[in-house]
Amino acid sequence: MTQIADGGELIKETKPVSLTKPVIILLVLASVFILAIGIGVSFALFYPRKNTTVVIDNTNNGNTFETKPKPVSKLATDSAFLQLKSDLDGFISELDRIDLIEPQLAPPNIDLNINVQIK
Amino acid sequence: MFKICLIILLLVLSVKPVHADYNQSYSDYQYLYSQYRKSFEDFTVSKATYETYKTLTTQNDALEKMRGVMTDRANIVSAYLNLILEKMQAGDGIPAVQISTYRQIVGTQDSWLSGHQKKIAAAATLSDLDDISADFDTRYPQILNETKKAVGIILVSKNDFVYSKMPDLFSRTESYSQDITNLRSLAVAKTKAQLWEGKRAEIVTLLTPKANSYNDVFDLYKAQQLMIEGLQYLKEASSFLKEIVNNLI
Repeated sequence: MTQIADGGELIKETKPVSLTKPVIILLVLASVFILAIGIGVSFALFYPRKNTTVVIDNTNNGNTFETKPKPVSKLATDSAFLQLKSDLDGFISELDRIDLIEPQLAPPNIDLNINVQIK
Repeated sequence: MFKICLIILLLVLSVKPVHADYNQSYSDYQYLYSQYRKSFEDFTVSKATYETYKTLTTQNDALEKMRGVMTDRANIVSAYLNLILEKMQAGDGIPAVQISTYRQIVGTQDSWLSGHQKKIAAAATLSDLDDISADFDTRYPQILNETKKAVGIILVSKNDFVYSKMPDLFSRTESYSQDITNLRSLAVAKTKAQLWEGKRAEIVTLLTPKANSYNDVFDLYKAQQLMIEGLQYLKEASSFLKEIVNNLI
């Protein structure tokens, strides 16, 4: 459908763009997803890494030494070894809990020589 | 549904019944002990009154109070014997033969105490009660010695129980220890743990009745000192194991 403007030009009537509810939800989800990716990338790029440790020795004229961290042993992820470590901790705590006095087991404080000595 | 309820009920009923028995016995024992102390105070007052006035009334009162304190004394000794038995049954790693032997001792002593209480109930005079009380004085050291030995067994079993877990820990640690330093530490740890066996042997000697001895009194205090020393060796051995394991990571 066309209309004639005041100047005699033909104006083409365009259909108005309408956003339905599912489309809005989709747009919101997409923007949240993009935002999350953005935060993740920024975190990965700018988070301070602890690959090396700088130790400043004040007793040695301020010389600096760069030390590399100790390589992590394969045993750190070995389930059998971790079980041994845990069992050992449990065993040590069991040893600490042993009570070799146990006052509850002491004999009752009873009296002998209960008599009236009438003889 | 019925089966599930039945299983849950059985589980609830089977949760540490022995431990509950021990707590109940200890509670009963404490009650009987407080009752005995009160009876003894009452008897002391009655005895002093009788010795001052020497009347028939005070004599009868002293007789009843003496009967009461002697009955309560027999009750507390019986409760103590049974308390130790409950503790033995609730303990870890106590050999069944030791429990069975002590149960027989408790049976014998309980039977004697029961007869003793019957005599107390039947006594008509203070003189009779004096004689019955003297019987108890003769019997009590034997009862005390037997319970002391049972306490010694309960305590030594604690060290035995943890010691029995050590060979497994040693072999598992050894499987990871190729380094010479760790192997040396492991050898030291094993030697430390074995020192407990030496202490244990001394305790067993204390527990074993000596030949031709009619007055063999078990020295529980000395045995406890040996146990504490032995436990220290076990702790040192476990510290070595811990150090080895920490070095491996």
